[in-house]
Amino acid sequence: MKRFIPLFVACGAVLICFLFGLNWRTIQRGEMPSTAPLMRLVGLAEPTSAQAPEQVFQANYAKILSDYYKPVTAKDLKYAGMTGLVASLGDPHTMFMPPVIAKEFNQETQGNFVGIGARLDPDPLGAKILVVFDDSPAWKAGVKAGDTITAVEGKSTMGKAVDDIIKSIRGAEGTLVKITLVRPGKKDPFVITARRAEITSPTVEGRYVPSRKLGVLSVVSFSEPTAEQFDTELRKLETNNLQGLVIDLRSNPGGLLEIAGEMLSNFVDGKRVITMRGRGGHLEEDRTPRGHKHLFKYPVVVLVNEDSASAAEIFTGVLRDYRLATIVGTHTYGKASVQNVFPLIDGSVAKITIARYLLPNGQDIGRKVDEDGTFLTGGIEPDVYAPYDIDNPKVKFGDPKTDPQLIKAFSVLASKRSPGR
Amino acid sequence: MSDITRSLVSGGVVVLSIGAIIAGLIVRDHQDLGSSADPEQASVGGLIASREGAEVPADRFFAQMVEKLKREYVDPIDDDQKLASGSVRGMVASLNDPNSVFMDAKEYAAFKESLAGHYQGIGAELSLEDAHGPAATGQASDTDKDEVLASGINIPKLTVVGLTPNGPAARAGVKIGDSVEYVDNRWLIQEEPIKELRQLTLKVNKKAASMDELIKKRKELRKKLEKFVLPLRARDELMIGETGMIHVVWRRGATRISSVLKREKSEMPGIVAEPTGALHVSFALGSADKLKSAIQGKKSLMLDLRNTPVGDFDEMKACLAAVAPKGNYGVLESERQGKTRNLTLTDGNSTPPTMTIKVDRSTRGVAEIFALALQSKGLAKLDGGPTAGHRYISETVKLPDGSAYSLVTGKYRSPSEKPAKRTVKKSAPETIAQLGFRGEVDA
Repeated sequence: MKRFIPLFVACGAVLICFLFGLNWRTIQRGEMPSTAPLMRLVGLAEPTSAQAPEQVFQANYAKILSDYYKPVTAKDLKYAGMTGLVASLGDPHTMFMPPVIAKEFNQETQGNFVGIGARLDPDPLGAKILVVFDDSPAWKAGVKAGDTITAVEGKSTMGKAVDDIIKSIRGAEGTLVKITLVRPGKKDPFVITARRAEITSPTVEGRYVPSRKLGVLSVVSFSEPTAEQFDTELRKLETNNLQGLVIDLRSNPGGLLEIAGEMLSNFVDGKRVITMRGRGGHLEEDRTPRGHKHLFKYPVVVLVNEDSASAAEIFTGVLRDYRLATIVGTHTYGKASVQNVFPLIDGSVAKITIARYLLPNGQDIGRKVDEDGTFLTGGIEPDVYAPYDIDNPKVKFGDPKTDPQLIKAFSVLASKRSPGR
Repeated sequence: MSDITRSLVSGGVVVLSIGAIIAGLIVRDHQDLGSSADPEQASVGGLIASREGAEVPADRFFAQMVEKLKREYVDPIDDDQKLASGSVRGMVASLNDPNSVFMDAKEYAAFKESLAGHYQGIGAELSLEDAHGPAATGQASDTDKDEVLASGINIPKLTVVGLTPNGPAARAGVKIGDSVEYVDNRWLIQEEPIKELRQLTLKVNKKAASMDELIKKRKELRKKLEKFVLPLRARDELMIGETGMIHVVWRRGATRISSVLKREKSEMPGIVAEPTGALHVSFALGSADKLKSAIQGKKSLMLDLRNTPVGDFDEMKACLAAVAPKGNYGVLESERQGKTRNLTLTDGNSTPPTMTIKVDRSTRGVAEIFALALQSKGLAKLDGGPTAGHRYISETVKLPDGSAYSLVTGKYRSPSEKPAKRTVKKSAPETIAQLGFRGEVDA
């Protein structure tokens, strides 16, 4: 009998190891190990309730489709189900996108679309032209900033949402679109014809303010062409006598992490950008590419607001943590997670949060809200607080003369370079 | 045992132990990810087959989505039923119908209680009512252009549609038709200030109003939006719970009424004999039996069907059978082919009493159907009116995790009415986000 004891001990050890492996995921999460996985294994516990989740979905999908008193489009219902499924995770950044939305999203990250090449703003008559992109079809057709679109293809745009107007302006590459415009100082509306072409949105706009010898780089998103556009615009600005630079990331919703890293490589060489913590606590570091460092001979300010999110926050946080810029504005959004995009069977897409990240100094900027969605904490706090005056229509966003945040950024830059010089 | 065999055996044990840990991990992962045998391959196959717009069976879609989330999402996903209920919530929400609603377990429990006449909270039934719906007496405005610009703005009001007779709300003087503007100092988005702002913007554009006025209005609206509450959350706070106080600011027409109300139990009995001799019927469970005994031997009957927010359809049918002979009482109309049903009594009262029914705007749902059915057959005279115009029949479907949803399956039409024209699909209500002042987009 005595000689079997080591055998028992050995078998016991193996069993304990197996149970440890079985419960490792639970322990990793910092929870108490349970017997549930073992019970499921030996078949003592049913997977959960009588109706499996996919049956619950399928049965109610069929029910609504057949019994609701108004006709329902099967596809829309299915997509609504997927949207609800994903929403139940409670993470606003994990999203389901049906094919149409997925296509738009893809265009946004690529920064390309087929259109006339103009930036529009809502207007009671339709849409006001804010910017006409260089060499774009709109530019060739003689459209000017300040014009107002009142009709597309002869159909009035009065009272229409800008998004809808844009839908009617965009179309297949090479086709023509007729647009009716009114221009200040011109009595009658006139019609222009533009040939739709592939447009690469300018995501970076550089402006030199000669009176202050300062430059402003407005970055509206981090999409594929952004890093290159950033470099180009920076070089252009530096042909002036540049004494300071404002990188305006206000209302920049972010975009591609890789692009933010590339842009940061102007400032830091092979340094840590973020630490990502993925599934099961798996850690991964993201560093800037090497050999791209640029010499900034002047102070830099990063301008942010509550709509600066994601890649914009990483960009801001890295410059702050390596003490390379002063942060001006209001606190940022607080999106401390990374998403990946997964194509699904019919062209729809799941955008899923795959990791959370920490800034180089270890800060978690994750946004916390109360039950009603009101902001509590999170985001990056600015070094110099400067609010925008949204209620004052005389204040123009990005205008060096009236935009209070931009003016504050200028004065911070002035104070940085004046001492000792 | 020699030293060599001993070390061989203990080495073997160590190897086996490590193997066991790995085996445990694999088994667990397999359990967590469900039974989809080879998901990688499945998705590759799916991609090859991918054709935009191709119809993919819904259940396959669901399974693929769940599997993707389990594999990729940053946090472990344990509760599959939560995902399933979430998907149903999404589908119900997409109907965009205030009468087809998803209820979480707590909301469903409260709803079930109210069908039996037991109320919690402030003792009121609150419903999101369309301010431009059939009940609203909308007259065409002469400011056509403003209407065009304002079209699309359609913010429903959280409105009192019923009160328990001695509940906290009734005692505080709250009236049917009052709508909620603030709950515990948080604002419920209202249509008026948004419309006003739009109209003022137009005036400023035409130089008919000053910019300062517009700035002031914008600031006011922004201030209100800083502290707001979602209407359905406010509804829960008002209708669920039996402890604590709640501060409500009501709108009654142009006036505001502020009240501090207690949350407690209150009752809406199935049948109440009123001092006037009329019987108030709520169609709560058990109403039919009480109605039968109450009308025994009576040749004429006065019914009061005002303040009848919630009722059970089968109970209403049983009540109808108690006072009316068998026959057809109209149809439950569905726009779906073959889904329109008759409201037929196979059994009934062959010697019906002559009836007078008191009705008004608070006569809604099954009570409204009951009144219209009797009126159309000449069995009852309606005293008052018009009724709420809320004649939907809905079914309640329970889900495994205790949540549920109601689904409208038909709309009542009495035998004397003509079939309704098909409803035109309404455009989605405009979101508040479009009020942003920086909405530029590239075209």
